[in-house]
Amino acid sequence: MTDLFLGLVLAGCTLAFFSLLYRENIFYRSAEHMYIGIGIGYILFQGFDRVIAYVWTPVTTRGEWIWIVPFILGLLIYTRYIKSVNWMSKWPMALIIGSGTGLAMGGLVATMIVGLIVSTITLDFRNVSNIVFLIITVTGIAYFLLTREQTGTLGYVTKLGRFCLMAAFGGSMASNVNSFCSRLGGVIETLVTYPGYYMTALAFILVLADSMILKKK
Amino acid sequence: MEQRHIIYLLLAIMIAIPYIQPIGIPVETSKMTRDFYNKLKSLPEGSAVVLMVDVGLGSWVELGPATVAVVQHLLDLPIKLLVSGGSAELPVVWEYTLEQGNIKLGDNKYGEDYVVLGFITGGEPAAAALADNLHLTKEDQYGTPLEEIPMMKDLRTAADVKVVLSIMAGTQEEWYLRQWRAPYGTDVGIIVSAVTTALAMTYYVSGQIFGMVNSLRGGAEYELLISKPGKGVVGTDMLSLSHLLLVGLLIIGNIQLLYEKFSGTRKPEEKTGG
Repeated sequence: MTDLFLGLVLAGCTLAFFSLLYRENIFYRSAEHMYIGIGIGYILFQGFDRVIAYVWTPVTTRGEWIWIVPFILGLLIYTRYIKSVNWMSKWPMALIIGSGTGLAMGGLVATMIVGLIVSTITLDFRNVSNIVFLIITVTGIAYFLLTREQTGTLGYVTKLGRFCLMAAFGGSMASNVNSFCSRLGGVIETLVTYPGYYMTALAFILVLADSMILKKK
Repeated sequence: MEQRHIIYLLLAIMIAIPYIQPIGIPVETSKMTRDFYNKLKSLPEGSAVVLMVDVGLGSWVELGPATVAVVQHLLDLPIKLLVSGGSAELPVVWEYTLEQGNIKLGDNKYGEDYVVLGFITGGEPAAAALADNLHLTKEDQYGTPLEEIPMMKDLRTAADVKVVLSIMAGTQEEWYLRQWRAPYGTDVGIIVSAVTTALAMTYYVSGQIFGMVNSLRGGAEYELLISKPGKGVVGTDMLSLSHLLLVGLLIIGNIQLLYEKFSGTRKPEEKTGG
């Protein structure tokens, strides 16, 4: 019984979202508000749960008062809503951005610079695809050489680089379509399997009725 | 009915067909999925693996089959599994994985063979903090102090972990390369959304990531590798059919464009933007 109810709610909400493709309507609005409300409620709950686990429990049960410091820094972020003291929110933000950047820079050289350069120059060039890979890398980088006018030989190289970049963007776009289709597939599965197909049939009837009423008007 | 409505309807029909009647289009295993599988399979007994859940249920449809297959494989291996991640939805995703994936826990005991730490906030700094101290959360997701959990006694830093895996739809692989692999030498593998596959491929080709399970397609491949076909395999039928339609529409659109261009019937393009 619970599965039936949950299946119908799931399919109903899915169809309510899809109904925007037909036209703006109350089902879409309701589903949108519900989704945002439930999402924010869940994240708020998880946030409070973490505050209790990381601050409240260590302070009250183990006397680890140091956890008060990040808690206060966290609270300071909310001072941005009070104009007279909103400068205080810059301190925790500065700490987050500064520590984040510092940490990222630490491993960045080894992985994103040295790692990638070493792997490129040590490629096995008996393999044709590695030669293509090298050409794309060199011409792609050449496209961003903005200190010299891109004419003559450099012009041809950068033009090839531009085509390579376009091909890469095309590949990236195709990946996006792949991802979109994957996600859409799972959603549609709920509409064509039990008990979702009852809601799908109901939605078709509603759309037909509505379009007929609109035509008469 | 407008032209775009017809395209939506056609796409919905093509996607729905395999769920009503599976077709069974053959799935060939790619090298990056096989590398991922072989790496996990070759781990010595008792090795620690950290599974980071960095996506929410919004990506479940795409990454769920791969997640289920990899978790089942990890639980079948004689290793220690630690689950954490940067997604606030981690508790739900983990329960959903076990329930929807019909995961068989076998002889695995909670606290001895696997532990769920819960989610950690803070992005890359949090990943770095966890690498520095696996006892960062003090207690597991269910409120048990980590010091009382037998499996956690020998696990202190990322140096005690052989492999870190991330289920991701962004650029989280860079966090683990920078904060786990570079300083501690922990190997990195990813279960990745198709959106970011192209970027992550750079690190796979350069040998910094040992393997990748690429979205729904990768999930299907992994299901076949562990001989447990599921939603991923059905999903590849759907992907093939929907892509067939999209490729067909692209061809038709281009033929129409060329026809209009050469017959001189093409309307001048409207200028957009300011």
